[in-house]
Amino acid sequence: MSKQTDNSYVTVSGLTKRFGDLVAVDNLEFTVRTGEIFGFLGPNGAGKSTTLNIISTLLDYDKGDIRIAGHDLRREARAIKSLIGLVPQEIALFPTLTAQENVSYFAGLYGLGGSQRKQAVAEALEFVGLAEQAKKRAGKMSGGQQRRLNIACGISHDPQLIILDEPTVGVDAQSREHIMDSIRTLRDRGATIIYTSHYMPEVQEICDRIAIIDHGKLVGIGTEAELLAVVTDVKSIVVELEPQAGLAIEGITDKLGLLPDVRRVIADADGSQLRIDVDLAFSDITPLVKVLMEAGVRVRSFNNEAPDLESTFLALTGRELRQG
Amino acid sequence: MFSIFKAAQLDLLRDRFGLFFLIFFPTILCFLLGTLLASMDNPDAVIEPMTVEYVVEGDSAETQTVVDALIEQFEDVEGLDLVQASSLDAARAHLDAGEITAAIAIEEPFAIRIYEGTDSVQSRAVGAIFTGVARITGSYQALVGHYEQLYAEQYAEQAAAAQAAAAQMPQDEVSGGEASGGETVQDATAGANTPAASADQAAAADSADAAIDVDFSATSLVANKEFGISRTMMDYYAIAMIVMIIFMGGFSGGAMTLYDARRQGTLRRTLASPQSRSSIYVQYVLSWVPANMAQVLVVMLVASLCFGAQYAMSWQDNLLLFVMLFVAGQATTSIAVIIGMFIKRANPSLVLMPLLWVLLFLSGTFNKDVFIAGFSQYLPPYALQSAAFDLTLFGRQEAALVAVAVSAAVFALALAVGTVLFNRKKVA
Amino acid sequence: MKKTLLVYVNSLARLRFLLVVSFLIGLGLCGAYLLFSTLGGSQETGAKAVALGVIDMDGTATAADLQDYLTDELDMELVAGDYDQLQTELIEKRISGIVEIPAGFEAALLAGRDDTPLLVTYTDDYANSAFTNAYLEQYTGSLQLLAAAADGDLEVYGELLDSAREQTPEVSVAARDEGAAERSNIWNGIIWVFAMFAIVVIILAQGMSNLLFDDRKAGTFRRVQASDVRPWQYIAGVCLAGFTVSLAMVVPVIAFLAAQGLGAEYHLGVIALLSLMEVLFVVGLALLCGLFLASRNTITAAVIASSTILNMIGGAWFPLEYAPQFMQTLAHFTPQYWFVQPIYIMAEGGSVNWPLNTLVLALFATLCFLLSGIRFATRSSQR
Repeated sequence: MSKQTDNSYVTVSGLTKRFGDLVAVDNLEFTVRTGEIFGFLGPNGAGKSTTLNIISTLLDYDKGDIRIAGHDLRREARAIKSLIGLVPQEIALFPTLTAQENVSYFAGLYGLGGSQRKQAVAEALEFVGLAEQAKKRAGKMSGGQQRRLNIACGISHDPQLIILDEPTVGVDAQSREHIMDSIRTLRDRGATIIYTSHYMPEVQEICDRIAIIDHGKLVGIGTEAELLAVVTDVKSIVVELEPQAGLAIEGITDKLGLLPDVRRVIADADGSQLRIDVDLAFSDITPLVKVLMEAGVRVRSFNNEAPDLESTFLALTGRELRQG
Repeated sequence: MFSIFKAAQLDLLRDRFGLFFLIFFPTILCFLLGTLLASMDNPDAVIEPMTVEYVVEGDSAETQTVVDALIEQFEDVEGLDLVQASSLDAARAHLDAGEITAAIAIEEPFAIRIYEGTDSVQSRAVGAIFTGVARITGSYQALVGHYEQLYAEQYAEQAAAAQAAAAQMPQDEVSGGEASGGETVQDATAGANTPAASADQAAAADSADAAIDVDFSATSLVANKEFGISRTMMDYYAIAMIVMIIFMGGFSGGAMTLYDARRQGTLRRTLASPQSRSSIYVQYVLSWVPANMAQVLVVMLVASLCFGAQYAMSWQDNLLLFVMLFVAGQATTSIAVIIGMFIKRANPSLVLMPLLWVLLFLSGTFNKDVFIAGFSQYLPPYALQSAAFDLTLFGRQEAALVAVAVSAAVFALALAVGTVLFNRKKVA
Repeated sequence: MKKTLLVYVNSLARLRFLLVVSFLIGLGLCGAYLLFSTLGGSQETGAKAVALGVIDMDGTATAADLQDYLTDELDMELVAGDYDQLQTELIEKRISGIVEIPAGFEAALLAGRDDTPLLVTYTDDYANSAFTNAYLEQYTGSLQLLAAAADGDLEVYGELLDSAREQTPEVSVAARDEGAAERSNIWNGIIWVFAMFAIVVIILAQGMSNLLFDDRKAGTFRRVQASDVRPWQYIAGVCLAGFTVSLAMVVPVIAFLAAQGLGAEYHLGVIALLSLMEVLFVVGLALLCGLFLASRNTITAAVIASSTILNMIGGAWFPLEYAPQFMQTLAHFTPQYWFVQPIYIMAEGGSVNWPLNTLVLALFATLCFLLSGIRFATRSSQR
């Protein structure tokens, strides 16, 4: 039973978690509104999994306050567990059990029994499009089918909060599309969803709001438009080059970087592409073309790239590789 | 409530690997052991008929008498042929050639020197037989001495009596006449070297001879008691195999319980459910009950029905046997689940297997000849086997009941400890 | 050669835990040798003293004399206990029989009665019971002589008993071979160690098979196949690593036995050679399992099953001399037979055609390597 009094389903405030000297989550604060699909992004090692484990009641925390549907996580964990459906990143299924038996198992763990459980199992399988594979063993299913079964196991008990941790990893386009549709349907039915993924187009497509964390701290939160607005004075021009031997690409990028309104020029490793970040107001590419022609560069194409979530993400979290 | 239990049974029935070790492998073992052991119920060594050559060193009449008595003794003994050799060298030559079992030199005064052959079992038998001969000879010598003394005492008494009588007789009768006893007083009081004294020694020897000559064969003081219990090799290994499967299968399987669930990701998901951690843990442990029952039953049935292994005499004792082995299996599994909780990186089964192997080996599970006095009997597998044999062979229930009680206590304690530890673990 | 070495070093690094375990097992086998060469063989083979259980309910001088006779004169080992305990010892063949000296034995003896005899229990299959009875009959016969002479007088009987003991002629033994018992113990230790080695070494194969399987699953195997590493180079490198791991078990054992002074008499060189060939076969088997089988669990099942079954059939668990003929024939098709049987034969003092055994073991190993090579190459050609 929900004790919430506002439209926040999950409220996290001042959340801190340490593993020895490592501060995995540092004074994190955010809310997830009831009935929204909340994207939760971050580079590897940012503290995403730790935060989700805490919310899922699998991990204790050092400081902070977490409320889910008005229940305090520390004091009312048992009540909260009934409200949550966890769909982990790894395919957590019993390979020797059939799809039906897998879903039935997890439904049973959430207290469903008898005909109620049978119905819930049938509905969950129907929902993810596996009704006809109900008797098939999980170990014999394709990757996409397993992913969908993974979801079915997490939603069979009709949870109010669903945590989906990279649910579309390694699946084909059809399965991904099906999963996306299913998630939208769940949201439409009133569930609140926390969604993580490293695939930005997906997050852009499905999430109502997005939070980005890095080094355990929140670095951005809001709708896509709000986030883009944080880093929206830049756009990119992508120049595709023809392969040329002996091209002094460094000299070319230096010259381009000196042009007005040009913020940054990045060449890829083999010199086949240049990404030129320019001010939003930049519109005339003639100076760019002149520099390139003078350098004897043969250009295949020029493309404008509007700022997107990925570039926002990278802008907020940096381009360095993470060790996590 | 029983989701974990039910899922575990379905998993077991469909896991070919698990079924292999639960049913197929024990059956194969039963077949192999039953076939190999069927003809192994033979004694390791049997004393074959023996031929012993002897020589007598010395030519005294006394020694010869003893030797004659010896030959006579062995005339009717089956399995031992006593032959006089021409010389000791000849006898030893026959011994070296393997033609005889042993060579004997009878020394003067009576002593026996045995030259052993290559077969230590036969040699031991020869030594024991002639030790017996020596003992009888010693008894004879004791009797001779005893009777000599008796006659000496008797003679001394007679002499004293004659002297006393003579003292009361008139002087002329003493000096010239004969004493009333037939011999002169002087004769009666003479020393031992008189013909009469020699005659007494001979009489002593005759008495001793007469004593020895008595046939005691109808009055044996050794009676054989029926043991009435036999245990074939298959009977032994029928129990040992169950113990092996309990420890190896139960331990490694139990240790893999949480390891597998962790690797599959299902443990994390299960922990995220509203089920209490205690309930989850208890179900994981109890999910082994059917498998533990099955593994005992499979071996008991296959070994007894297909290979004639004998378990207990009565169905009640067989039931007790089954309960004992099952509860022991459950106890080992419950301990193994705790161990598996803490082994995260390596495969717990591989880590535990060498230790289990050593434990079972030193308990005589793989080979019944392995037994280290003062050590093996304190090992749990040995204690279990021992209790099982007490029950099946002798019908003694005490050890089995103790084993049931101890196993049940260990199981309960391990379950309690495991539940507490599992509740304290932070992350799946 | 360079590529083989590279594969070898990489595989060995991944098997380093197993290397340590193998070495520790080798040390354990050295300890096992010490244990089994000290425990010696069974009493029925003459290497150990005959043991009898004794229950003295009489407590007289005669009872004490009987026990002294059994231990001092007949070199038997007496085990005390109650009847239940001794029954267990008897069924376990740790004693050959149980001798009960009933209460009133001496009194009945003195009275010339035979209604209170010694009670002797053997197992139903104890073939030497007649001889053990004969030893006891000889002794009780001597007692009867003394008792008859004592004519019921306990004091006289006691004196006669003492006198008989003192006047028992000496029986000395000029043993043919003083070292026979020691040699028997040493061979006992050797047989145990190498039978255990045959059983345990095949388990090490699991580690190697898992390594190969993990390569297949993780995709690194396909990468190797896609490179210019030839099949034989890959197989050689992995096998050398497996060989090294197995050697870590057998080398300490051989070195230890050599250090114990076991030389030509115990054919240590032949045993070492056969051990190396057995290791080669095990490596080949590991290769087969790792390349052919579909999962880690299947590998575990195959390794454990083959270790147990091949070793049982081959004679590492039980001597084959009593096995049915078809089993003895079947044994010839196991590598373990060609490894373990020569050791049994040498222990009995027989001679062994070790080149033949070596060749057969090498053939088994070669078969495994060939099949593995074909498997590796076939996959390459199917790309």
